[in-house]
Amino acid sequence: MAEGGMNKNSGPLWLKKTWDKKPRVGIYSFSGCAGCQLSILDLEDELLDLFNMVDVVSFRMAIRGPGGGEGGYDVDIAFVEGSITNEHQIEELREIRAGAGFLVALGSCACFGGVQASGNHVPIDERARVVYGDTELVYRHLPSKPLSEYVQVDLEIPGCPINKYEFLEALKYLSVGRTSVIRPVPVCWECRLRENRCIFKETGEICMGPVTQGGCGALCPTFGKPCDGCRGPVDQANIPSEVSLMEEYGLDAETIERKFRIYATEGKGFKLDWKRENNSASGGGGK
Amino acid sequence: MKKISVEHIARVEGHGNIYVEIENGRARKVEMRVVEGSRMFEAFLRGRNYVETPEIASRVCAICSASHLIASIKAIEDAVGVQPDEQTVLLRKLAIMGETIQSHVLHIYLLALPDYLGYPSVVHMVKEHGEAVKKALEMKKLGNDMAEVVGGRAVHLITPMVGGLTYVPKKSHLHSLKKRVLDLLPWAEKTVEIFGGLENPPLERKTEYIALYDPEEFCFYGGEKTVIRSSEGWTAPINRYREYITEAVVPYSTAKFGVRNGHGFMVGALARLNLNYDHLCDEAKEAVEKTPIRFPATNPFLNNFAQAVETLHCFHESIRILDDLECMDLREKRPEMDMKKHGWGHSAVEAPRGTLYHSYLVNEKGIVEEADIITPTAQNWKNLEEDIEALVPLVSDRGYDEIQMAIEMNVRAYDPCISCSTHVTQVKKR
Repeated sequence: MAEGGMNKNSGPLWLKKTWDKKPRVGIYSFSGCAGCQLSILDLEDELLDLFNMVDVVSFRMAIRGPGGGEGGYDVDIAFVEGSITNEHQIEELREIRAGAGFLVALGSCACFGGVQASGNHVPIDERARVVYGDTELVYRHLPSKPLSEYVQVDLEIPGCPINKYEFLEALKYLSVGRTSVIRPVPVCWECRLRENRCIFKETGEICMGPVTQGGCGALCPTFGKPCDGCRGPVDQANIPSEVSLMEEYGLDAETIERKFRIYATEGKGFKLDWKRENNSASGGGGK
Repeated sequence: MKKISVEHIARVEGHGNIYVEIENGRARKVEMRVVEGSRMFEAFLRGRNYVETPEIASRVCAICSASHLIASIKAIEDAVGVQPDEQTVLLRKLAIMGETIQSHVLHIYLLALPDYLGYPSVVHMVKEHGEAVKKALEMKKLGNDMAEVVGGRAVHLITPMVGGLTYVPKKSHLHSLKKRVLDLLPWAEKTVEIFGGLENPPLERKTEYIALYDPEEFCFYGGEKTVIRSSEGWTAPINRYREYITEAVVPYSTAKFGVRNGHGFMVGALARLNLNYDHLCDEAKEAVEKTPIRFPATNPFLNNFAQAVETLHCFHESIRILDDLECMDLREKRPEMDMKKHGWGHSAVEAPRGTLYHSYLVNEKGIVEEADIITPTAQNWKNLEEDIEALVPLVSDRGYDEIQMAIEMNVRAYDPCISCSTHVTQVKKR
């Protein structure tokens, strides 16, 4: 087990290196669209160097062999994408955790349950009936949950999909025995650095930039689209203030609730218990 | 009795398992088991606003996220009565060309080719086939960049919306894109030659092929005259797809299976070439004619070759689209997404792996009440099972490794996009 792990306030930490020359890296996948793994394969210019820098011993999407390469779960660094939606996955995740020195949750499914958690307020059996009808299914479904629901996660790289350069950065840090840090600034901050015009203010289209973890470089607002909060809540996000802004723009409670329930439904702060605790949208904050 | 167990199907998108029982040289049982990780999109899309629905729906799949996004947008536009303008349609088409190039190149070079050359992965090929790997990565990157120029990002495009795009690319970006397409064009031609020269397992099995057909073009995005077309001779309008493309729920899989009259059918590059070869661009036809392969073809492994041919077609088609855009005065404007009506909306596009259907019921408040998505891979499962049944007698006298390899290659030829989680594949040989 690595020491420390992600700590937003104290900067990079030294890990206990469990390797001599190159770390053994495994890339694993649960429920999701595989977009985070694909983003790794999309590092076309860096891909071959990356495979030289570390020993990628498990990567089912790219390598044929038992367990996706000879590595199985015995790795120094495990990157895990996807959310957990059934009991087999819980078992496999625990095996990965047991085998890995350092475990990184890759993308918003692994960090917050992903879009498939956006329906978690509806009982799972009811949802299954919508999709499969009344057929008896062999496997029981569970509501979509992030990895941290079941195991300790040492670093979270959010995003739908991840910013592939954040992954590369993390891998570089980790391979020399340090943790990388995702700076706790909101998308709004990065948007201003890019000198974008503020969509929220100018058009009244609801933007989640003020409360969403940055690191994407404010990509969506840069392309004329308001932030949808795919990277989950930023540390110390002022949710009540965002909610009162939404109310000012005339959104009803249902629509506001829906805005927090897209990619990061299970993200702390976006889990909107504020509706009950905090009707006037002042004080308090998210759960 | 000989028991053989095989681990995971590697080098496919997502994870699934095959279960095959072999007795007296024949397949006693073949089950494509997609047992894990159901996300239930049709359930959680209910209650969403029509404007936000497409970007959520596009999370079904990353490799073909542009197709999902655009299919979803088209269905919503059909439901709410919004018409995209010409520049929007051209830019959407360009994004689909980019996605198809990136998806096909990723599949044929990185996922399928290592089997034919006897390597465990593309990384292991670098030493002896460095140039090909390098060019493959360049073509893949070009496809991604093409989607990115339109969408702001290659995986899960940002800008396409109901009624338009939130951003319009700069002419200079389109220029440099065209230059790169022209630079890599010789390698797209070479790709057809390479995949036309591979030796495939001799599995000839005619099945029903289904693809979209448009009288005016080799259909990916589709237009007003686009219909569903089958090799059995029937055609159907897109808004009646559910009467023709039926899905069965099978107890061993969380993916539904496409079935017609109890038998499987095939969608994807091979189906498109079998049905729409006439509409292929001349340059791609010439490249095919230099190989020994002719369409219609009935060997499912030729789906790899068909993807190579389509890659070349998409290179030429993207040049034509870029030329059209060049002549236009591209204007940035907010998408016009106001509802003019409500009710059901349907759409279909040819995604890299085959025909993709989306439909939604939008109510008068703009809320999605029902959603239906049929993915190409779901349509192909049954046909793949039937393929493996036919494949087993051809290889059953071989050793365990070879049988396993042949079955896995058959699966990989479909370029399945499972987006589900992992289990153990077992081959039981009696």
